[in-house]
Amino acid sequence: MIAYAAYLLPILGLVSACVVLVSAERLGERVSGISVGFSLAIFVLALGLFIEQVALGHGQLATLGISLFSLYVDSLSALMALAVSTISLIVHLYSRRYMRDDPAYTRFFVLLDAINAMIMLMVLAGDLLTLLLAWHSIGIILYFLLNHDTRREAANRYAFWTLITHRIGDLPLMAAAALLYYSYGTLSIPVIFDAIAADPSRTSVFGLPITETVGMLVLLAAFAKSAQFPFHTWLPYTMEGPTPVSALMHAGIVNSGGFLINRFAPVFVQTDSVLQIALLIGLVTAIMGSVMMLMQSDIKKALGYSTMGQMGYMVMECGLGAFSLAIFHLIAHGVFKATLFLDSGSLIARARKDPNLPEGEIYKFMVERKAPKPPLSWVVFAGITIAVPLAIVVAAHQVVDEGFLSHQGAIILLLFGWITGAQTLFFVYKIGGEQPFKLLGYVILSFALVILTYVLVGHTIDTLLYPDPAFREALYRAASLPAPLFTLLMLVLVTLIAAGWLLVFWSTARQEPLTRRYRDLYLAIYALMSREFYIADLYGRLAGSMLARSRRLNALMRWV
Amino acid sequence: MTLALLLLAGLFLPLYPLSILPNALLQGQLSAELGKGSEWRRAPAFKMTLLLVFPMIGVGLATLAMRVGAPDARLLTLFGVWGGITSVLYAFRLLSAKDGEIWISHLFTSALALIWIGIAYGVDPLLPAIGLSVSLLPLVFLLEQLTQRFGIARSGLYPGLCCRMPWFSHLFVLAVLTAIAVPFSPSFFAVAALAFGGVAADEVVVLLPICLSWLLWTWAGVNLLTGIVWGIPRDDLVYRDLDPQRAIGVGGGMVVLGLFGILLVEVAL
Repeated sequence: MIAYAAYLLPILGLVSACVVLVSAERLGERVSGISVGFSLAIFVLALGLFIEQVALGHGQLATLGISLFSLYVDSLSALMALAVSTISLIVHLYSRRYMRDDPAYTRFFVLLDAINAMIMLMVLAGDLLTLLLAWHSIGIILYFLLNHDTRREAANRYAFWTLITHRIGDLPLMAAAALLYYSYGTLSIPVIFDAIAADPSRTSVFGLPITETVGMLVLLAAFAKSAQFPFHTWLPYTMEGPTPVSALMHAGIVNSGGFLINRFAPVFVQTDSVLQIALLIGLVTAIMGSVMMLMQSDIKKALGYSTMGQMGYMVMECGLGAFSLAIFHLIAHGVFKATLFLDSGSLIARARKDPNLPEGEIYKFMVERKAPKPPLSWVVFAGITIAVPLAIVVAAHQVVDEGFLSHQGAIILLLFGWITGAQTLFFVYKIGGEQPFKLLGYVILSFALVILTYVLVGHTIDTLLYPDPAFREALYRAASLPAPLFTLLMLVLVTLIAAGWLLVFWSTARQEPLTRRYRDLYLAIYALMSREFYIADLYGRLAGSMLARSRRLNALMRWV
Repeated sequence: MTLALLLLAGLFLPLYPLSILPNALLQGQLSAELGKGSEWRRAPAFKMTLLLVFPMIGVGLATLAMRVGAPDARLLTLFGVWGGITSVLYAFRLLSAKDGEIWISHLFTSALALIWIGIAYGVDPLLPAIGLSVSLLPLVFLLEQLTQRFGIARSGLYPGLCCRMPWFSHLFVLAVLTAIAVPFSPSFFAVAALAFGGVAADEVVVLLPICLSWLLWTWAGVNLLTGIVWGIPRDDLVYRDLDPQRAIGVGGGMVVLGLFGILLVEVAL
């Protein structure tokens, strides 16, 4: 019964779009009230659905008696529906005031409702064709939302980048769906997963196992939607759309990749070498996104690259077998990124009115470039920086789940937690300030709280989404590397990172930054990064060349 | 006999270079060469009839070829590959097409050539052929409206119509999306039926051309929208929007097309 109630989630969104469209002339700007009302109803319904699903435990399929439009309600879809409806409600409420003077007010709300309906359909899809249909529609509607200002050439250009990248991601998903349909003779997602579990050894293209092929295709689809390298260029450039659209995109749509990988977990669990590719691509994306974020002076573009980095981390978590952590990550990221985007609009407005920055320790460090004298010997501080975060991270995991450290993926995640914590402590060392030990205490306390919450909530979501411990183990196993290779990799990584920190501490203590010592190398890397590794330029050249060749070919063939 | 029938079908489900003839017909090039009294061949009703009848004849001839003598599987594969190459070739050429008539003819050829993949790999070609051809009808109608208003239907000459002709622009966007096979259009379901049905025989030969053509159609569709619907409108032109009742009628027609698409996929899969 609750599965059938889930039909209301996409239907209400579509009804809202239609009602807004037909009432716009009569109600004017008040029409947004209708959209917000429907959004609230969808949120309440999604909350009810989630509570019911948690109580029920197992998944349910609802069909209309045709091959299309079946819905599958399980813990993953119910949780995602709740997350999507929450973000959508926040965006709706914000847009009401923010978009008030916009001439295309009605069109904006119609498209906003339509895209929410399609996202709901995607997360609830019970058959491959419905999933494909919704996955595809999201890219199309997003194109129109990003092209909100129809007169701006830049908005049109970047909306096109988004659409074409999303379309590139649609194609592998279609191929995966077609292969699964051919292999198992059904479109129903839960039936296919049961069949895969019973017989995972079927082959497809070039005699490869169907699970490996489909897994790779699903990953490609997820990479395009979640802005993974080399499909990332659309994400940071889509700031031409209204701020609420940026918020919705960065907090919701871009997370679709993480959802898709989780939806296909029963396929990935049968693979041997696919998740390692996700780890590699996620790692590259996370590093590139984070590095390029640091290069930006435009707050919205910096947030865009930050999203790219976070998406890389999310995909990397999947690549490590920590599927449910990716879901937790995407929800947490969605909430904080929506807030950041929505706040960035008012922050920019405030900065335009009052350009004076408050003069504090960070101002002195960032703007005046005055580095205070370090409070402690660099050796002692380096010791604290390296040891304390590691102790916190290990202890938090041991408290929640003792067996956690037996997984390779968990160890790599710990490594990242350690790096993050140590980096924060290093920043405390660099900015110094009047009360460095008080600041250090706050940072360590906050870090401990964040890590403990992360581990606790992650563990809870893990048992909610994948209640079968054997399945969770199998996911970690599918993502694991051969033990000697893993050990070697970890040793190299830890040595490199620790040596890097020591070097930076040492140079900072001597007041001789590495950027001065290796100036030429630094400038070369800076130039490369400021051009964003020339990837967007490369795509631009490629597109221009294709258009020119198409023209030449048409002229040669006399256009018939 | 079988080969002759299949080749003849290649005129109607266009295979390059046989595709030159239907392309010339759809672009009205032959009518210009025939001189006075042949202007009716440029009329939208004639083009729409061609778009609907050609695929039927093509499918009929291909079916007849199968019945006359069971063709060799390698021959059918050859036609399937030929159809795939033709489809990608015309999709690629579509990227630089700005004239409405050329745009429609290239898309028609690219889309209908995919039917050969279905024929080669045992997918019933009739419904996908109908789905792909009817999806072009709204765009033919709206391009004709542009010709009536501006003398020519061409991308880039009168941008920014969304600011001056909102009814027309909304429908034009929907018509372009329907033509390039986005969800809920019959062409989307037709492409899905071909991919899902044909993949059993040969994954690469079936999926590669379908995916490539589909991607290029999207790019070409956006180019068309950019040159006609988006941008800053010119002030030196007179704009006349569609009559709302007529626009609602066309919109209703597109909804019916969407329902037809769902029926198509139900029957095909």
